[in-house]
Amino acid sequence: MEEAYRAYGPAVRAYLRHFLPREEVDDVLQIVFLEVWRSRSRIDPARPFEAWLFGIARKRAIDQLRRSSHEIVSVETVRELVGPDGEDFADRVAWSAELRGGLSKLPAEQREAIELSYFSGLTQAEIADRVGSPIGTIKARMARGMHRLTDLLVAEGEAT
Amino acid sequence: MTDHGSVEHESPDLVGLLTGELPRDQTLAAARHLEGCAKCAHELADIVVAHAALRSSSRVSGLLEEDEEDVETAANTTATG
Repeated sequence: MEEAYRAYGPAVRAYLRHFLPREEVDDVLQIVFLEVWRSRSRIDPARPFEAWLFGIARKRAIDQLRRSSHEIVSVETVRELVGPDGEDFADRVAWSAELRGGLSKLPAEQREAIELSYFSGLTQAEIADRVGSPIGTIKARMARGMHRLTDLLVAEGEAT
Repeated sequence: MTDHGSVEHESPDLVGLLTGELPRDQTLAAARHLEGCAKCAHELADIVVAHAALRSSSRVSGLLEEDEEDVETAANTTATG
């Protein structure tokens, strides 16, 4: 349970923060992980853990908005959380968490190059400058890392 | 489509192609190369899932980080106002 909280707590908190006022986020976060712990025997191995976890987070966020004292909730928030897009958004956040798990399994140099490219928007030439390596080395690191990452994501998908 | 097998050939920068870093002429040349090279087309297929997941995650992270920035801006405005 502690391991799950360490691995996914920040991502679930950020997801909840997208919909809820900051002062309500920690309470709902605790409720989510309490529910995960209580329901752990019902975890469906045929479904990615991340999708299950963020499904619970989505439901508890909806509960919180329903009983919240805030009278005004934006249409966008309702659509992203409750509407047809709600499950899609939760799934995307879950997939993002799964990806982060895959990235953490890559060698540090491959992970660094990929993160600088996709999350900091640097080109391969800029990454080479930043880390002080030849551009050919950066291209090789990124290519190897993305091959490995695809393998990890596909294996995860096939396992569930 | 042919398979180059053991014949050495110059592969296009597939990661650069996916991330949109290649200039127009190299992008078009890569597309032409991929039409005729099974090896590189297979290589591209091998990294495209990671690319899609990374782009999706980048967008989601951007959305969620905006929320944190809004809160910090509001907090600073309150503190200085």
